[in-house]
Amino acid sequence: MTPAEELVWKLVDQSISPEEFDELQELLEGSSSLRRYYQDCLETKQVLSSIASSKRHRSRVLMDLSKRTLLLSRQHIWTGLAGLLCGVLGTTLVQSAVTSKMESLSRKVIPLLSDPFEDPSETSRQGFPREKGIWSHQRQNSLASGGAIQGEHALKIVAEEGQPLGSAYYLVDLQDFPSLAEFTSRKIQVSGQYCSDAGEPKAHYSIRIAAFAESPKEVGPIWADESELFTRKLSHVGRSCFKDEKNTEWTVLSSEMEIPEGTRTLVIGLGAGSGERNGSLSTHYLDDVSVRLLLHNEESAPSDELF
Amino acid sequence: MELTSAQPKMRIYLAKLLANSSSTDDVLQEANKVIWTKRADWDPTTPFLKWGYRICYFQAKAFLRDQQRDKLVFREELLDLLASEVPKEAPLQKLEETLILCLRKLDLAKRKLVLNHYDPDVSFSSLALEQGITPNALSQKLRRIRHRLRQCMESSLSPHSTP
Repeated sequence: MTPAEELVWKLVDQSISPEEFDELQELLEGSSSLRRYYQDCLETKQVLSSIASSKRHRSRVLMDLSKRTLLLSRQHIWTGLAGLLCGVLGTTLVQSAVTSKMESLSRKVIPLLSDPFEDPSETSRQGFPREKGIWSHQRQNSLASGGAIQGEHALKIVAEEGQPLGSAYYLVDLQDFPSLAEFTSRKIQVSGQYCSDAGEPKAHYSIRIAAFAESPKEVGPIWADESELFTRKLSHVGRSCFKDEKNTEWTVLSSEMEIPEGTRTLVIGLGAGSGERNGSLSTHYLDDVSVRLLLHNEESAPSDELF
Repeated sequence: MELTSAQPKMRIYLAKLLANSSSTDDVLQEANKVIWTKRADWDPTTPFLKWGYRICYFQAKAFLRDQQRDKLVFREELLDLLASEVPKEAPLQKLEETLILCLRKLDLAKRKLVLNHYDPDVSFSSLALEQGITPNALSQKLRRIRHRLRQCMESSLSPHSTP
């Protein structure tokens, strides 16, 4: 922390002397970054006050360490009981059972979606989904040109002329999974297989995952407004790959993202197209889409401590 | 509804102009009264906060005119400079979520210390006593922790922070 930043914090804490105040005025007048820092410190103070005065927020801030303590206590109890029951000879066997039990307590995988797109009659509405659990956009199930990966059908994605990608979207509402709060590490993992119509010179395939604090119904307008999207998303990852015309095989693409605290809705976007803004109409296929939640409790102290 | 949700942002803006004066809340109340009286003047097709900030600015100037004897008042040039730099529009909820994530990267003792510092029922001197350090040393410790929290928030909110 620089001396100027120290003066800013003194002002924020109302412990600045008149001489220091005069010095800070000079510094603030001459530095836009220090003025920004001053604004940020006031903001931090306000948000800290808000968190400290909310019982819910306080418990969330203090939560995960107490969970670790509970987890370790259980481990100690199990280990102690094991020793008493089985004595020295049985200890090795029981220890492995304990480890297995603890492993199941600290890790969990929740499959959210495994879609082979085998119902050709199933279509969905245009545009971004307004509710959770359904695919949307210009999708329609169709027989893939090179044969589907699973079953006979695949999801057809058409990238319109002038559009770099056509995308299918899917929303997950985390309110449906209250047990998530029990885990310190929560990830979403998405994978899918892509291919393109014979004759497409090249293709760009992508997976996007984004997290929002808002409900599924509220995410649509945010997604449509780039500036809102920029400020409101809690987290976002994107993964892409490119395929040239020589490659006619199905391409596997996967991506995962740590789910931030406070996430209500996850948006999954699977896209395919030429990848060029002036691209011509192109047809692509998607199959064997899988979405999972990977949950994990860390038993040790956090490795990414700030201090 | 707009006025209610704008309160935290308007308070931060006023605190900035008033050098974090203890009268910030009084001025905010005055600004709220003006906003309510002039509510018909607000064009709903424009952002409410922008209009609210303008009224806060004039209320802050009026307050500072009456406080000339107070030494800790910004010069008018600096006040105008600060007022012209409109705060970023990140919603308070997002800032809270980001700060909670950053707080959780601290060890438990530091989390408790920061939260207790902002607990109105815990005095600063009792906090220093509990920590076994002088109030001056506690001030420095809290400044360092909050500086790091601010850095963490900045990197988390940065557009380049997403993979």
